Amino acid sequence: MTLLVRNKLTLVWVLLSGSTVLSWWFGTTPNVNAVSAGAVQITAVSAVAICLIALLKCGMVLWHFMEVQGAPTWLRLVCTAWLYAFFGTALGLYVWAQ
Amino acid sequence: MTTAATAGVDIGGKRAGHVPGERAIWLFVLGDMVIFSAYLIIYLFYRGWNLEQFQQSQALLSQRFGLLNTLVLITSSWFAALAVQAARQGNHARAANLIALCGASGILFCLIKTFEWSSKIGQGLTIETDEFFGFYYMLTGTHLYHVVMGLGLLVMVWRELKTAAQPRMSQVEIGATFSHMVDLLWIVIYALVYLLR
Repeated sequence: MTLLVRNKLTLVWVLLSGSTVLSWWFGTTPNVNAVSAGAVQITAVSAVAICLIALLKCGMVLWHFMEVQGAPTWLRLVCTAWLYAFFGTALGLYVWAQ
Repeated sequence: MTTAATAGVDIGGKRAGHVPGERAIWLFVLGDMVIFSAYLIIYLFYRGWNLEQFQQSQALLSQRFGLLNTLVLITSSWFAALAVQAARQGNHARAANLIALCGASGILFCLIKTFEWSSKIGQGLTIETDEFFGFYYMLTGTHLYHVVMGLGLLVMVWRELKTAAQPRMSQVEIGATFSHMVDLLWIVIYALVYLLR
């Protein structure tokens, strides 16, 4: 049991779970403003936070669970590029929509 | 066995510059990430063109199920990573148990998803309801299909660990890599479809 608790993988799981709950908090009350009947809108800060947290979560899964951390340079570059390109685009399209 | 491996503090026993599993699984993973990325970018364009409709429909999603399912898959990923670690330490029995737990988490995800869908359908919210729900069912449906594929892989990995005289590390890594990908894709779907509203 102590081995599990001191395991780096368990730390990653704790961080992933905790950041998920934080992300959920940003996406739900109390940061929610109804803009029209039945619609819901989060604040700009929440949108940035959600994208950033998702980026970090994906990074943790890739680097520490999928072992990209110890992978060849090309794979690390591809994954890094994907993280920033995808979440940057997602946030940009979200802002464009508003 | 190295002390680092037995202490369980880090994933040991692999060379630097090593890609877990085989190249083929990584081609599949990267390919899938590209496809899902494109799908979600298209989703965001449609969202921008129909903002009010999307916002109203997104408000109808169950945040409880979304959060729960995300935590379930993160946990399944954790089990998969621990299984790889145990297998590298030569503890195939423990690795098999962890693969089973990973699979059980995947099954739980499927059950929650099925319940979530049937609840939505019961409210009259189907794939044809509007643009948003079309995307919602297609994205989560395609993802669910991947979860089921992953479960099939995990059964093979479990059998390898239980029955093979010398379980192949590459097989365990392939199963784990696919499981992690399923988790990764859901993290993105959860953020963009459930939370980004």
